[in-house]
This record gives sequence, structure tokens and C-alpha cells, in this order.
Amino acid sequence: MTGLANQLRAGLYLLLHDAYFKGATVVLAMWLSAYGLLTLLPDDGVTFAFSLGSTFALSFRLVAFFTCFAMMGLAVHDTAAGGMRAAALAGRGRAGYVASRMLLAPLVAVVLAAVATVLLAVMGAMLPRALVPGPSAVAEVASQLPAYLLASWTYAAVGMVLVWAFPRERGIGTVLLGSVVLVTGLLETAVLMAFVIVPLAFSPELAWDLFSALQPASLSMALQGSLEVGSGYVVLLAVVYLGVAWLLAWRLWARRAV
Amino acid sequence: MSVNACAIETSGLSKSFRGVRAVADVGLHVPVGAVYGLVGKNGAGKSTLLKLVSGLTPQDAGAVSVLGRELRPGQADSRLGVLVEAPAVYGRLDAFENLMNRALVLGLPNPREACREALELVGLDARTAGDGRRRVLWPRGAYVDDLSTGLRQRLGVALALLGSPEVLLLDEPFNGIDPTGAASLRDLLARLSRERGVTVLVSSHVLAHLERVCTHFGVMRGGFLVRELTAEGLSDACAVHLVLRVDTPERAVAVLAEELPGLTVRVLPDGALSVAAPSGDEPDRRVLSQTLLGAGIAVTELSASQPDVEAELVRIIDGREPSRSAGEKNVWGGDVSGPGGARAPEPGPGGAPGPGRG
Repeated sequence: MTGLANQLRAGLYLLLHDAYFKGATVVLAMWLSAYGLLTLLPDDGVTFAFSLGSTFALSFRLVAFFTCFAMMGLAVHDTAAGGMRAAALAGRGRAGYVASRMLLAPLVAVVLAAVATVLLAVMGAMLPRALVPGPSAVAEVASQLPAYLLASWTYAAVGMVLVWAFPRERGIGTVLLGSVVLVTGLLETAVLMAFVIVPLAFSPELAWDLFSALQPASLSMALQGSLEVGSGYVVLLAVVYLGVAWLLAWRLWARRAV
Repeated sequence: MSVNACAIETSGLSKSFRGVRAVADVGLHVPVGAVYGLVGKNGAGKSTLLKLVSGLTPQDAGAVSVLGRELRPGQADSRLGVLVEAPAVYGRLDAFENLMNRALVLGLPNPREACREALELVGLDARTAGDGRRRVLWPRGAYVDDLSTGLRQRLGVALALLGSPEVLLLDEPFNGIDPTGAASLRDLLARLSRERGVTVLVSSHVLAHLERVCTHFGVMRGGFLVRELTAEGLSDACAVHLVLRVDTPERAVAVLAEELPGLTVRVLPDGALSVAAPSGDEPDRRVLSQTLLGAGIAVTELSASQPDVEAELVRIIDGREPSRSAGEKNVWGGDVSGPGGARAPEPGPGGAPGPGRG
């Protein structure tokens, strides 16, 4: 475990110095602040009410997006810098590198969620037109947080695998696009459509049936409540995707020249 | 570990990329504490060999052993310090941060101190110049992306030195480094080997640097390791020798082997004989002539020659080396055709292994 601990420490050191992570934290904070600060505008016919409950729910999606963004960014920097080359020479080598990046993702999600929560709490207490929900409503919204954190981890893991699978020099545009495509579920929808596009030409009914059958495999749909599934199912789906992503990452790096 | 033990040993090491052979059947023997210079033309397979030894690239076939431990394909050893091709550095971090990252990966007990020491070793620390003024050789906070090739290369060497590795693998470490810095690096490698017993495997095209620092040499050609020799052996080859032209070279070799057994006699590619004395001094021309004339062999030309080490290495790299005389020993004290022999098959036409000795 020492080797993994070292790789984690080094990964954390890199993350704290990484522009993508810093940018993700700052932009998340600015985004939520701007949302709240709109209530300070003079009331000239349009009233901005700051609803803590709805903003809290919004912040979950932002956390998922920025976790994915930060980790994909770190993977991009790792790829450009031959990060694996350095890691491969250390204890636990390649496996340690993959594990360290995979384990950093939930940490980033938790940090960003904490930043969002603290910021919202402060704004809720200070903003004059803030609509603070009751404890039961807050608890209901907060109960969704673990599923979102797990989903954030999964999106980040899949994002990193995509970066590692196509190890070319990439910039912020790719990271942004990748995060949007993943977190909004566009990628999953595209994959689903790829499955039904051929049957659609022959029988729309068959295509729809197939689409309906495959829908439960979509993490984004399950997470956003488009599917009638419980939170346990969302967790299970996220864990499965996470496991597959980790396995793929390991397979990618196990024998690759670095 | 015995004196003659190998820090790095490979056997049958091979690697191809999309069907193109990069390294073929290489049996490398780097003794503990040696500074081993790997030379060869561009594309000879030097960098790939270093990557295979370091575990950065998994081999297709063959075995790698580092300090007595056999490594699986793609497996690295933390006792290695590696600089292969361009330094693996994060462009948007400064030098110290890059070193810190590596120190943390390696789990060094006092990472900051280790980083400072590594920077100092490669001359990138802030130090006082001879005129008493503080001279900052490495501006703290400057992104690595903004620095020159030479400074990046120095950082690469510093990264390889982190954690006091027992074996250093350096690929073209002198690239882009100014003459003073290159001389310092050369001295550093010699000092590490001499004082700390560090084994160094270094590839470079700058033969003048290697000549001064290396105790052993390996020559690669077309993916094969075609020759291993010691610096002493190379010096011997560069000793004053006589070049003779005789009417029957094969018979002359036999006569000299019998009459003057102390001499080393080689047949050069152009058919002339090269005769050297073990002392390195010029062989006695009169005795030589009389011996050959006495055997009825006519000497048509006799002149003295002394190649320099660099020229000799270039000759071997280009495959213009003379054929060996009978009984000649390889660098590790064994017969050239013996087990673990240093000589690999010569690449044949089209890059295929030729019918040379195994």
C-alpha cells in the first residue's frame, strides 16, 4: 500500500498545482455566487429570488461537471508530461498510477461539493431575498448528494479513460467538450441511438422497444429522474460503470509503451 | 555482489513496432559500477533498448535483469533512475515542483531536501558566483515550458538522480546542454560511479564525452548489439600498431602467431595486417620484417598507425572493424564466441539477422 499512498500523495500534489482543478473550483464558486448575487440587483420589475433548495440541486450537476472537467484536465496534463513514465518507475508503478487517478476523482467531487455547500449556506444566510427551505426539504435535496457524488466520480473516470485511450496533445476545448458530452448524457444518448438506428429503418416500433429496453443502462437518465428507478439502482449503475472504467484504464496502461 | 556481476543483463531482448524491428536479440552486460556507453547511428535501437531495460516499453521477447532481479515485461524497478528521450516534465510547473512530484511518487523520506540536492548536482541551484554575487541559475517559479532545451535536459537528469538510484539510464543526456554544463555532467557521472558505485548506462552521439567517462562500450547497429568492449580494450585497439601489406596475409598471421605469440595480429578489411604489441608500444619493425622474410613472405609496405578512440568507435559503428585474430578475448574476459558472448549476429540484407555468430 505504500506505493499507492505515494502515488496518491504525488497525484494530490499535482492536482493542487493543476490549472484545471483550480479553474474548476473558482468557476464553480463564481457561478453559484453570480446566481445568488442577482438578488442584489435593484427591483425594476424583475425580481430575482434566490431559492436555496433549487440552487443546491443545481450545484450537484455543477459538481459533477467540474469534477469531470478537473480530472480530465489532469489526465490531459499527465499525458502531455509523460506522467505515467514517472509513475511507472515507482512502487506499484502502472497500477498505482491508474488507482491514484481513479481515487482522486471522488476526492475532487467531495471538495467541490463542500465548496458549493459552504457557499450556498453563506449566501442563504446573507442574501436579503434568499428563500431558505425548511429542514425536511433540505434533507430531501441533500439525500440526492451521495448518488451525485458517485455519478461525478463515474463521469470523471470515464472521461479519464477517454483521454488515455486517445493520448494526443489536447487542450481545454477537448476537456470542456468531453465534460459536457459526458455529464449531460449526450454520449450515452448517442450510444443508445447507435443501437436503435438500424432497427429504426425497418420498424419504428421495434426501435422504440429496443430503446426502452436499453434506457435503464443510462446513468444520466437514471440520475436526472427520467427513469422510474430508485437511488439504489443509480448507485449500482454508477458502481458498474466505475468498475468497467477502472478495468479499461488498467488494460490500457498495463502494456502500453510510455 | 561479485566484482564481475552485472547490474543490467539482458538476453534475447527483442522489440518490434508495427512489424519494424527496433531491437533484436540483444544480450547486454553492464557490470556493477560501470559507466557503459551505448553508441550507434540514429535508429540503431539505443533508445528502445533503454526503454525496454527501464520497463517503460514491454519487450516482445527476451529477459531483463536489473541488479539480479528479473523484471517482467513492462515492469520497472525503483532502483533505476531514468532519462529516456525528452524529460517527462509538467510544462506548467516549475522545476522544483516537477522534482517534488517525482520525489513524492518515489516516496522519498525528505522530498524537499532530495529535490534541492538533485538541483545542485546538475547545477540548477541558486549559488554564489565567483565574484561574490548571488547567481540564480534556475528561476524559481518559471514554468518548464518557458525554459531552454538545455535547462530542461538538466532537469531531466535531476529527475533521474532523485532518490539516489543504484542504476542510471540516460538517453542523450548531453543534448542541448552548453559545453560547461556537459563537462560538469560528464564529471558527475564519473563521480557517481567512482564514489557511490552507481552503474550508468548512457547512450549518446557525442563520442568525445563518452570516451572520457565510459569504462565500457556497447555498439548497436540495426537493432543488434554488435559489440561490447571495455575502454581498456578500446585503448588497446588505439595503441600504436604497424600496418603491413604482405603477399600472403593468412600465412603471415599463422607465422606471426607461432613466432611472435605476444603480438595481436588482425586482418584489416582491405587485406592489410594490423600488428600491435600488448604494451601499447610500437612493435619492433626489424624483428617483424625479419620473421616474415625468414618465412619467405614478402613485405610490400610497412607503416605505423595510431587511430584515436573516437575514430575507432566510428569504425565499429560503421561496421568497418577488422576481423579478429584467433584467441582474442572479449571484454568480460571470455572468448568472444563463449556463453553470453558480446557479439550478436550482424544484420543481414533488408535488416534480417545475418548468419553471424550467436
